[in-house]
Amino acid sequence: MTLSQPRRFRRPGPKGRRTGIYLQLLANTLVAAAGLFIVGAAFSVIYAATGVFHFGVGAALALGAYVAYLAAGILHIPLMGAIVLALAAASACGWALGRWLFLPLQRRRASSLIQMLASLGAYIVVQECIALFMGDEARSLLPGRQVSVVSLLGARLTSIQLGILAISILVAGGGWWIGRVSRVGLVFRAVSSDPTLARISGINPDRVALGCFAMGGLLGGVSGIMVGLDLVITPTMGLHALLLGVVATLIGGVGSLAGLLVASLVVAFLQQFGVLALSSEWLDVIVFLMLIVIMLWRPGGVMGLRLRRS
Amino acid sequence: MKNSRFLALAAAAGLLLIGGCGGRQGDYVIGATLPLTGDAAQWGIPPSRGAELAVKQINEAGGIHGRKLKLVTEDTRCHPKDGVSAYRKLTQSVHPAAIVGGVCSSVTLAIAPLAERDGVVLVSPASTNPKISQAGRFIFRVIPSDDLRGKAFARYLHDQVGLKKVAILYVNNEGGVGNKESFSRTFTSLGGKVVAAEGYAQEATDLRAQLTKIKGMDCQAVVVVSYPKDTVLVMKQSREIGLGLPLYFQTEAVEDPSVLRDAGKAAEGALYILPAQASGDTVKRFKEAYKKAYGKDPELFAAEAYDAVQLIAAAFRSLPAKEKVTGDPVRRYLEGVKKYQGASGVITFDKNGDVVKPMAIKKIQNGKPVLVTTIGG
Repeated sequence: MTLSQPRRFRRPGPKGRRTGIYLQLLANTLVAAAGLFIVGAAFSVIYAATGVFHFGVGAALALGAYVAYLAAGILHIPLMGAIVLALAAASACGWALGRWLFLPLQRRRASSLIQMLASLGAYIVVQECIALFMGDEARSLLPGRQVSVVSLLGARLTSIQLGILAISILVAGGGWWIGRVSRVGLVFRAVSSDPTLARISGINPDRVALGCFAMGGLLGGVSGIMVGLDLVITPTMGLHALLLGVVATLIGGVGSLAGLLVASLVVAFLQQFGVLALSSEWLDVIVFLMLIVIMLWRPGGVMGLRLRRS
Repeated sequence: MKNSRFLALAAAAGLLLIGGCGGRQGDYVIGATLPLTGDAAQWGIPPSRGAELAVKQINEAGGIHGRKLKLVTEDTRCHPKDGVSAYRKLTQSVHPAAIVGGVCSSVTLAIAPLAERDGVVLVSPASTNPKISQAGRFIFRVIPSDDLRGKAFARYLHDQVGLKKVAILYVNNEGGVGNKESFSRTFTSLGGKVVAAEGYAQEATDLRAQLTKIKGMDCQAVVVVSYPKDTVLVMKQSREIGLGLPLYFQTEAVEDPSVLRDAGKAAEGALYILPAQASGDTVKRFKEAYKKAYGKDPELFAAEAYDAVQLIAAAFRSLPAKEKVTGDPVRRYLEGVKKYQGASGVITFDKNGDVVKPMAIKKIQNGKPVLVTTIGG
C-alpha cells in the first residue's frame, strides 16, 4: 500500500508567520470579546435592575441555542426563522423566570443570596432537561456546512464571526441609546438607583424588572445562537458562557457599558495572547486571578457605578 | 506413637504433593480473580465465561498430557482490598501457577506485587493502565496498554510518513496527558521533535488561540488527542484560521457518527489510529462457540480471557508431563509468544508482558473511514 505523504503547503517564512499570528490572535480577540460583551450585557441588565446575581441568563442562553437547533435541524425551518423563534423563546424564558421566580421571592423579601440560589436551581433544571431530552453530546447549528472565510491582512474570520462583531456593535450602540437617551433608560436608572422613590413617582418597579428579565433573556438567546453558529452547543454551555461574561462585567463595573466593553476586550486579549507566553491550561487561572486582584483594588469594578444598594 | 508420627509425615507429604500439582491430584489448575458481583460485574462475568469456555474446550479435546484442566475463580468486586483477599485465597488453597485477572486496573496493580513475589503468573484480560507495564516480570496482559497507541502512532508518523517536527494538541485530563506523553516520548526517542504541546480543558469549545499559536510554529503537522466534540472543533477551526497543516488524530473519536455528521468536509483527509479489529478463523470459531454456550455474542473482555486461558494451557502443555508446574516456566513460555492467533486478535508479548496487537491507520475519504494500513502485531 502506498502511503500518503504529508501535503506540501506553501507557508510564509518565520517572520511573516509571526506577524500573521499576531493579527489572527487580534481577530480572535475581537470575536471572543464580542461574545463576552453580549453575555455580560445580558447579565448586567438583570443585575443592575434587581441587584440579584441571576443565573437565569445561562438558562435562556442554552434554551435559545437548543430551540434554534430543534427548529433548524429537526423541523427544518429556515435558519432565520429558527433564530427568530429561538430569540422569542429565550426572551420568554427570561420573562418567566422574572415573573414566577424573582417576583414571588421578592414579595417574600427573600435575601439576594436566596434569590441567587433559586436562580441557580432554575438554571440547573433547564440544563438537565435539555440533557435529558437532547442528550449530552455536542451539536452544531450548522452541521457539516462550511462557512465562507474572509481574509484580512493575513487574519482570517468566518462570515459568522463578522456577523457576531456586527451584532455586538449594534447591541453596544442600542444599549447606549436606550440607557442614556430614551425614556426607558431614564425609568430603568430611576428604579436601579432607588426603587422606593421610583414607586412614589408612579413607576411600577415590577414591570421594569420584568422588562429587564425579558431583555436579559433576549440577549442571552443572542449569545447562545452566536455560540451555536460559531462553535457547538452543549447542555452545560449556559454556565460556561455566563461565568466569563460575569467576570468581564465585574471587572468593568456593573452598570457601565463602556467598562464592560473594555473589560471584555482585556479578558479576551489575555485568553488569546496568553497562549503565546504560557501553556493554555493556565489561561483561566490568569483571568480569575485578575478578577480577584481587581475586586480587592476596586470592589465596584474599574469603571463601575458606586452601587448604593446593600 | 511411631505409627502416628508416620501418618502425620505421610499426610504432610500428601499435602505437599497436592499443593505441588494444584487442586485434586492430577489436575492442572488456573486461578481467576474477576469482579463477579457489584457495579463492575458486567466487566467480570463475560471474561469468566470466556475462561470457562476455553477450559471446557481443552478438556473435551483430551485435557493436557491426559490430565484435566480446572479453573478456580474468586470474586474481586473491583476493589483492590477484595482483590488481594481473592488472590490470597487462591494461592493458599489451590496454589495455581497462573491466574487470569484482574479486570479493573486498580485490582491488577494491587495483586501484581504479591504475584511477583510469589512467582505466580498474572494475565489480565482487561486492565489498560500504562502503569501495569512496569508491574513486574510475572505480569502479562492480553489487552493493549493505553500506551501502545501513542507509541505505534509516533513510530508510524516518524518512520512511514516521514515527519520530523510536530505540535501536539491534547485534551487536558488523565487519559489525554497519558496519550500525549507516550507519543512524545517515542517520537523524541526516534529523533523527532515535538515543538509544542498545547492542552485544553475538556469542556473548552474555542481552540483558536491554541491553533493560532501552532500555526506560528515551525512544524510539519499537528497530532491531536481529542474526544468527539473537540475533534469536530479542531477540524473546523483549523480550517477557519487557515492552519495549513495536516491533522493526525491519536484517537478513534474521528469515527464517531457525530464527527462525520458535524465536521462535514472539514473531516476530509483526517488520518487516525485505532486498535485493528480482530479477524480470522480463531475469532470466528470463538464467536460461534460462545454463542452456542451462552446464547449471545461475546461481550467485552470475553475473548481476551479465553485467550489468556489458552495461552496458559499452551505453557502447561510445553512442559514435560511429569514436572511440577510453577510460575517460572509459564512466564518464560509467555515471554516467547509471538503472533499467536487468538480469539481477541494476534498476540505478541513485549518485554514488559504487554500485548502488542496490530493497530489500524485509517483516514476519512469521501466522508467515509478507509483503512490505510495495519501496523505492528
